[in-house]
Amino acid sequence: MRYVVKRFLMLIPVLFVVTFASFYLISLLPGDPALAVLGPGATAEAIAQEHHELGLDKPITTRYVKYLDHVVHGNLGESSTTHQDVTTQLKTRLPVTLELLVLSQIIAFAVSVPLGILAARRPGSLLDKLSTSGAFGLLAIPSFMLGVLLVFLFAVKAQLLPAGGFTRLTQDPLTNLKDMILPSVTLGLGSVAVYLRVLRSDMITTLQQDYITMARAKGMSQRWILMRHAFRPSTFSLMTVAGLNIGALIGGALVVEQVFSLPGIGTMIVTAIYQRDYLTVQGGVLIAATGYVLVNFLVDLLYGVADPRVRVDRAR
Amino acid sequence: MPADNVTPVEAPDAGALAVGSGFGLGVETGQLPSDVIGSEPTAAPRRRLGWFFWVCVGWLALVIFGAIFASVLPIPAPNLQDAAPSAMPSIHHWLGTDSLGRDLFARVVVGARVSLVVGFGSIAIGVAVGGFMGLLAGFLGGRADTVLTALANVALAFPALILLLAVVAFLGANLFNITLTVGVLSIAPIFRVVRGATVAFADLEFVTAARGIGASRWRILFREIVPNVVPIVMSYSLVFVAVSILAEAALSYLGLSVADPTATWGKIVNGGQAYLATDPYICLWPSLALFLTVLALNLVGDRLRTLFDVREAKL
Amino acid sequence: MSRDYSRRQFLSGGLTTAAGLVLVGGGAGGLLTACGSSNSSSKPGGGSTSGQITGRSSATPRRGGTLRMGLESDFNSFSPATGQFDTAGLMYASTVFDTLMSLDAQGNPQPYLAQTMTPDAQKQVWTMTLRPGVVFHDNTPLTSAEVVNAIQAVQKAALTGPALLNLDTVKATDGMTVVFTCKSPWPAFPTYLCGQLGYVPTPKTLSDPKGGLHPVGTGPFVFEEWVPGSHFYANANKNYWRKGLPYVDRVEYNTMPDSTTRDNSLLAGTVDIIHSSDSISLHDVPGKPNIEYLTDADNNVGEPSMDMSMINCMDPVMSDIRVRQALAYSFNADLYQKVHNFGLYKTAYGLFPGNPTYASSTKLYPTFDLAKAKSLVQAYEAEKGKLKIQYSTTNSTRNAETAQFLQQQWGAAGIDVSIQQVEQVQLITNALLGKFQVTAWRQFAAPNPDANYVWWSIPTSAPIGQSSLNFARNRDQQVQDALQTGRTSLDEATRTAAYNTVNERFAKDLPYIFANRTTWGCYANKKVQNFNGLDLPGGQPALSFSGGLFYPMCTWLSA
Repeated sequence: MRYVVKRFLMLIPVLFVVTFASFYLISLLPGDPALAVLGPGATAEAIAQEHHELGLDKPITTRYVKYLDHVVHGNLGESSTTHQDVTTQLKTRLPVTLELLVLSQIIAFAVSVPLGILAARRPGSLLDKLSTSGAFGLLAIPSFMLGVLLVFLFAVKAQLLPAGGFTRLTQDPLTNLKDMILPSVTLGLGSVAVYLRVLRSDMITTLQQDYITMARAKGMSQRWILMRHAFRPSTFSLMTVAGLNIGALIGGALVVEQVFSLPGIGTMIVTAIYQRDYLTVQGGVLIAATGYVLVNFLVDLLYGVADPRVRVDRAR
Repeated sequence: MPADNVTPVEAPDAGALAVGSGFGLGVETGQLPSDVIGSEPTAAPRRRLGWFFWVCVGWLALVIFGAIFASVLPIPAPNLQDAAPSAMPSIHHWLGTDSLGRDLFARVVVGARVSLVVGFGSIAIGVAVGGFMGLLAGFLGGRADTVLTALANVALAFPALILLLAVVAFLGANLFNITLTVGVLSIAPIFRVVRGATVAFADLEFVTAARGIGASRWRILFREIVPNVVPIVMSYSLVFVAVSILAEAALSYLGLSVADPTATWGKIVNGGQAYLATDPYICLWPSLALFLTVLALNLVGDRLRTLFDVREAKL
Repeated sequence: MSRDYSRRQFLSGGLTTAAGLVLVGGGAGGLLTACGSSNSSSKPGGGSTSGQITGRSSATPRRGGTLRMGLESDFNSFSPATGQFDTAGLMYASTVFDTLMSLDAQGNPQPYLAQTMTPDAQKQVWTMTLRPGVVFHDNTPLTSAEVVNAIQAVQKAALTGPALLNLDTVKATDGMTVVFTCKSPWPAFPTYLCGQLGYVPTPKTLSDPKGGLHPVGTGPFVFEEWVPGSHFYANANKNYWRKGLPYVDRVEYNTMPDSTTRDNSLLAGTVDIIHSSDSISLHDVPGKPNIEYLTDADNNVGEPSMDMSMINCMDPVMSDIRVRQALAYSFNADLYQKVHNFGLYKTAYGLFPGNPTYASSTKLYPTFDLAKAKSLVQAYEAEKGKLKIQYSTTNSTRNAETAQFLQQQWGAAGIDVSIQQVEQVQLITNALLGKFQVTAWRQFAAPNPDANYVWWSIPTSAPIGQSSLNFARNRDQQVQDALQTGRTSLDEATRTAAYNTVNERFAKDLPYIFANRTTWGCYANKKVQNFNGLDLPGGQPALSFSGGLFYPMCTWLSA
């Protein structure tokens, strides 16, 4: 319990930093922030009202508190282009990004776990060497390159899968999955490399432990030892790394959405940047950063709860 | 988890992990450097670097040489549109030309400049600031350490790519802003690496011995600890450079990096994508250059890290 | 160069009435028709081996299914008063709204939501009776009140108002009759009601500040969802007043600014039909299995859309005519066609490329002459210092390529060109407010040149910082006089002479540096039928595919 409380206390300052950073972005804009927020062509009254709204004459802390209040009430302003609420935009786009993240992780684990276990079972075997160097190579391929390559192969040449576009899961699950295959694979492959390397080395270390030798001596089957004694403990490392990987994933999702024109948070942010739609960018940054912080917190919590040693250790 | 690792032994790992979480502009790459994973836990540490290491070093040297001396080398001007568009490789245009008739070889060579400036420029900032703070925190301990570590933890909790995009959106996309932002983003991870290594070395016998014979604190720091920390930081830094280069490439690809007509690898790929069906070479060459450079940086960094790993050093 | 292309056209159409765009029509059809126009839709179908078709089918329509489309952009609002309707915007709007008038194949306006449209002898007072039995999607009936409300909304709006400066009053005389009184004779007025200015949304759509996000109209499809920048979905209007239409159950529009993404999506079957004004589509897509296409290259109704560099004539630097001349002389348009457009498009000078009626004014346009450009730049720099300009374009890679082509060409004349890329909605906003020096642009399709009045006239120009439909802010009294003559004259020869004058003055003022005529293509999977086969309520064929607009309403999917 102390552990949970401590983690939670850590979370608070981080959330303050995240919200303050996204709040402060608007102040970085050159020129009149009200004009920037409203977009060119705003009327004089609208600008005056926005000045009042932004409270530019007030101290920064007052403005920040007001911003926090708005955020807590789900008011992130509206787009200067379409006048749509930023919150509404986030609501329609968040599920897309989340689906992409989840699917990519399913793919990543489905590929990396069996490969990692097999590689760890016989370090130095052909499979091990291939998967290890493959992982190293994957780490050097940016997601946009992989995406472009997959589009070229599977959409343009083979015409097996869509090159882009999106159908809602609720509308047509099958088409939705088809749309999501290439993007998820693109994003997932990057994680495969990371997870494979972690799992492999972690399990190799474990397999050298005394208790494994003991289990072997007791005549337990190789498969039992691998799964029960070696893989289970390694899931902790895997979880840790998966949590840490979220930051990279959010970044990757942004680019992958762009490559496949998926209507997620990433395309929203990039389009908004090109439209100089600052409140939308701000909202997107806030949600992505907060999401990242929260996921990390959850993984951390889970990790602590799952492994009693951590709980004690870290609470210290 | 970037948050509280307080035990010294854990620290270098934590630093490495932080890299992973921090950057990743879209590119999940070198982050999670292998020693989280402990790249070769079974094998005895390899002290030999191997021929492949030298191939990688050679490639990097070539890229850097080309980027620096492109303008005096006998290659066409990278922005000059005077050849037939989308030409195949030939004697005059070694890698062919792009859709505007610009020499692709020249553009790929020059395209390395932006990547290298962002990669090495940002790490210079990270090492200068983060390294200094890490040394202080690790060596002095106490309140300074607590405060700096807490700050680093908070900084690491912010997703880097998002911050980078935000800066580009609000301050404008140019080489200076991008390099500076990536540099600032690398401070916290570097801090953790340096702090962890410093703490680890501070406990080691030779340092204790030096203390025993009455060496001053500063002498211990600069004569005993810094020389041992530097190689570790350098090996980590190469991975950071790779990550930064990938980050810039992603921004370039999104059209949010330096202005046209300056060539960057990400931008050439983006521009060539329209011609993928008819002229895949435009995308191929910069992709290859980017891939090989990042691979080489990761490999060299990985090897060096295995060589200098603080835990092995302890053994 | 243009710019274009790609992007949104701009408003062009949009905007206003677009204007132009498509919209406009024809009043006099004749004017331009005389020259050259043929009605494009008359090309026999079937087509050549490469799969070019008419998009008009006489087979029995098949009902049902979802039509998935890939468009190059979207817009900022469905509300005709605030929306910057470009090509995609017009397609979106025509999905949920109907226009009062609509263009026929000759470019003449015909009643659509209106049942009749009758002028007085001077063509200054127009009396419209409405079609009975039309209901909005919320089941309220269409009456003259909604029409007057819609017209007054666009008349008052800052964006669209200038297009209707010549409209004095609009009044309902009874439940189904509306009288439009113009300030001068205006033969082409009905063409203005064929586009952005002629849509009739419910009053709430117009009055609610967020009404443009949830439009309610009388159109063939009922709004379901719009995620700006991504997609727009709508379902068939079961109670559509045109019995039997539409054929498909649902339409899905997907925004795909990148032309190759659009092409690839079509080839991969993600979408059924796309439009594109990028030559790369015409280069890559025809001949692919299972694909048919159609271009508007032969559609010569009125004035074509042009790809160009548009110049802000009120900008301190660009207001110097030597600078504009230098840009024109240093632009090698023929080379541009070869490099960027694969030789598929023809270089154009002036507003009426290939139209012999306007040959005399067309030949006044500057052609490539680098030495002349250099000396102009030197003369400018001797007096005012280093010549630096910014060129704006959209964030597509093909447009970035055009930008770099221009940068190199203008750079060769000694002009320092920087490139700014923004999203199309923003590009249009910047043009409206004069926040640009030179911008990629695509505009001016108009079956009747009067539809372009607002883009070129003095009353519609405004200083930098204020909304101006005369984006180039070229204020030339001779142009203004000619436009007025063209608008009010009932004599064809006089009108032709007037527009010849406009073309001639543009060759001198150089507010636009033309590259080529915009050629729009519509590319579709073979199962997509009749996407260009709309008939008007009166039975005559509607304007054939031009300016990127096709007709989902009459499209069906075979098997």
